[in-house]
Amino acid sequence: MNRPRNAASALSLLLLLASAIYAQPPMPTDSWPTYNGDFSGRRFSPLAKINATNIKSLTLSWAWRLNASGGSSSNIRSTPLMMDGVIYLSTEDNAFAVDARTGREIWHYVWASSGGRHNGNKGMAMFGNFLYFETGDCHLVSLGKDDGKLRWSKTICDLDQFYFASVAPVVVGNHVIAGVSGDDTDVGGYLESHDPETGELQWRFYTVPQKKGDAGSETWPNEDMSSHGGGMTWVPITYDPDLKLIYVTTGNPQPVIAYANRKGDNLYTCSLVALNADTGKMAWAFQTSPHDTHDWDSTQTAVLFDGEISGQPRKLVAQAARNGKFFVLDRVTGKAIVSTEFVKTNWSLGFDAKGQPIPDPAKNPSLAGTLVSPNSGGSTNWFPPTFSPATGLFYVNASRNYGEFYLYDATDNPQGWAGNSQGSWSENMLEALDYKTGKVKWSHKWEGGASYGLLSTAGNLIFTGAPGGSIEALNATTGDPLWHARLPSGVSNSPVTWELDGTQYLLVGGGDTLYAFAMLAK
Amino acid sequence: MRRDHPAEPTHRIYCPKRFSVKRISGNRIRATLLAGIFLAAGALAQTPRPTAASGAQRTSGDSVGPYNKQIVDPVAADRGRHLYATECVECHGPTARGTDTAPNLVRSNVVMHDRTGSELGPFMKKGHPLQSKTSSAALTAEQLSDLSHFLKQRVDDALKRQPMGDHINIITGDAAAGKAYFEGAGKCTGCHSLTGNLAGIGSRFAEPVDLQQAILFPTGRGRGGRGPSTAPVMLTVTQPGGQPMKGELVFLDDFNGQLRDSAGKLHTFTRTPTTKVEKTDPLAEHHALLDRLTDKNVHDLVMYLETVK
Repeated sequence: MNRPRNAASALSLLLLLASAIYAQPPMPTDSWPTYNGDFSGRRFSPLAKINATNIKSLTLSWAWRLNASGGSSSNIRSTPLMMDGVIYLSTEDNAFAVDARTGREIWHYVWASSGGRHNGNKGMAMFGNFLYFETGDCHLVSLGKDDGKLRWSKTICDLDQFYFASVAPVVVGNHVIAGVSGDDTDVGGYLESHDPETGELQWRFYTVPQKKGDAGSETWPNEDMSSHGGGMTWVPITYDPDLKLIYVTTGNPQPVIAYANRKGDNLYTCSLVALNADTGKMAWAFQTSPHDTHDWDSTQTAVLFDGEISGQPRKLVAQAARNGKFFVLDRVTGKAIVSTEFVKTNWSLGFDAKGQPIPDPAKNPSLAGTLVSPNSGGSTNWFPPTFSPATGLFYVNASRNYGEFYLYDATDNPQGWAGNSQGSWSENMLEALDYKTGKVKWSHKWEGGASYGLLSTAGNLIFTGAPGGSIEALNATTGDPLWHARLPSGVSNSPVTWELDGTQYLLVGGGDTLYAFAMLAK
Repeated sequence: MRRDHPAEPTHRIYCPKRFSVKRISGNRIRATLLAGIFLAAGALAQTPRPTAASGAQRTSGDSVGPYNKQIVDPVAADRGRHLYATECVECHGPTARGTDTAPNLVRSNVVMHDRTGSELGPFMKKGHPLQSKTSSAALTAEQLSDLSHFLKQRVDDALKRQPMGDHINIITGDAAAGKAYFEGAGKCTGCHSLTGNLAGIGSRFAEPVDLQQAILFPTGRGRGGRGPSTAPVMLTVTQPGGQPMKGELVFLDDFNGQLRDSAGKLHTFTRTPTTKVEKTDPLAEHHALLDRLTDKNVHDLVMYLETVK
């Protein structure tokens, strides 16, 4: 018996054990049908053909370079989808279908943009024969999956109010769930549900109270401030089909840095909110950064997994937030089980009875500058984390850093940002957290910034971009670096994997090129 | 929430002080406000004026397509400022951000959607109180366009992520306490001397905030991307059974590294779990300082070092 086979059988045993404990269905292996591969946000693939033992044989199968107008249209930030051997990929204002076996382009769709911020489209959603993506000029666009032809487009936000759209929609049941972006001016955030066939609006959930008396309005000084209070929804939602709950994470309040005119917790900004998928009504909310004054959008993926807490099986949701805090909640009730830090920060005075952090007012931005850890980029950001049911670990690319926060407008009615964080020093690492305690099981230090999304697999592997421009694989149990390949433009999106004709592929975007690595040796 | 709130006196920042319309007579208000608005405009003129489009294009290259936002015409906006002072300011306030009696125009959908009067025109036609008690429907197309440019300029102000106008004075600390920290707990004198490498430090930076950034983040990723020049990070690499190789860090990741030796020659090495890699960062003490510095320490240090001319 050779060693790889041993390792593979050990892994299958591990998986078997894992599947006995964890009731959640595994991600499909022959497709990648949503932004996160499934609804859970775990980004864990049960594939193990590529594993910690044989990974050194992973090799390039093909590379495909997109042809778009440059800038953010030529930078693959999005996670590709794959179904029936065809990859569907979006960049700003562009969508492509590419043959998954050969890397040959099948069709290319270009949206004629009327403007808006273009800071990196995050991907598409799929429903039957249809695709959906958002555009910088505030449209939700649906294409035919087979021909790339426009079916319809719907305006989902107001360009004149400096909204824009970039998030990957997610289809749950009969709903295309679409979020919005924008923090240049003071506008309110919301999440929309559209009919996948017609594009008609089904419901809209405002993340901030639109009028006095609405839930959360008691945490704002008045209706004008709350209805313009920010809370954008620019990272894809996750979904529990059994509970019929959507988990949406929300961005910073407005004004962003200045705060004189928004005393209070500013609900439901910087929050993890559970919504009924059919109605858009809120089931519960947990605020991960009450009264944020540091641009710490809590728009990090809410990762859903089933686990065991004090010997009891529990339905959980976990988030490593931009403010440096790590939370594990009961995803049925929203009650906190773990509230802790995944990197050392200096801005809070512990946690309240609900498990929400208590901000230290001394660390608010000031005219003469306030030294805060983390800086406005945060301890992590939009890039997806991963949870492996095989190791029971939550993985996140983390940063311990400092910025000096200045207030630029000391009036009682600041608008927009009215301040900023300047300068930075950082140390960066990939962390593996024990979900039961939030304790760091291992930490792999990077030699530079690591704003990269993650993928975990049953092959006991973590895939990530790495500083220096590589796609890298690490041992999921120990954090040891195992394999890398340097890409000319570095890694620009989050890696994904699937199996086609018995071969497991690893797909990663680097700038304008999609790379397909494969375990070709049988 | 609208309260009078004294601007903090020590800061030379653009802080239009809020006022109570009830306390001052109409004529005086107009004169004061006109002056205030002009002052604000003068202060703003020190920094490049953003247009609506450039406001949205704050990060270069992140906006594409036929951008149909109104580009602010500063000459028209100046005319609009006069009109605003004559007809609007008493209710909507000197920055157009509203008062107890009238809404914030910077957030107004009429203003946001307007193109040189396209929305303001129909709005004013319906009748809206003006300070002169004349009919708002009588405003000419040119006046509406001017007003639109002025209000769009106010929206641009809200879009800015830099200080508006005058520079921020961040010197708020205590020089004696700064000196004590510099020579004591800060351990700064281990590497620095005010007659040696920090001679004239208080005159070296355009603004005190740049000095502050240099103290905190000397690698120069702060304001303007310029920091004081610093010595490079050094590497000592030892492969199993090999001789140590020393040089300036050029590149390092989990699998490879590169250093430049004292003769300027590049050396690339493979990094394995048995490769010993020692990094010497001359700024390690500065980075460690971040974990110890209080905000008072920072402000005191800036105050103290500013005195070293």
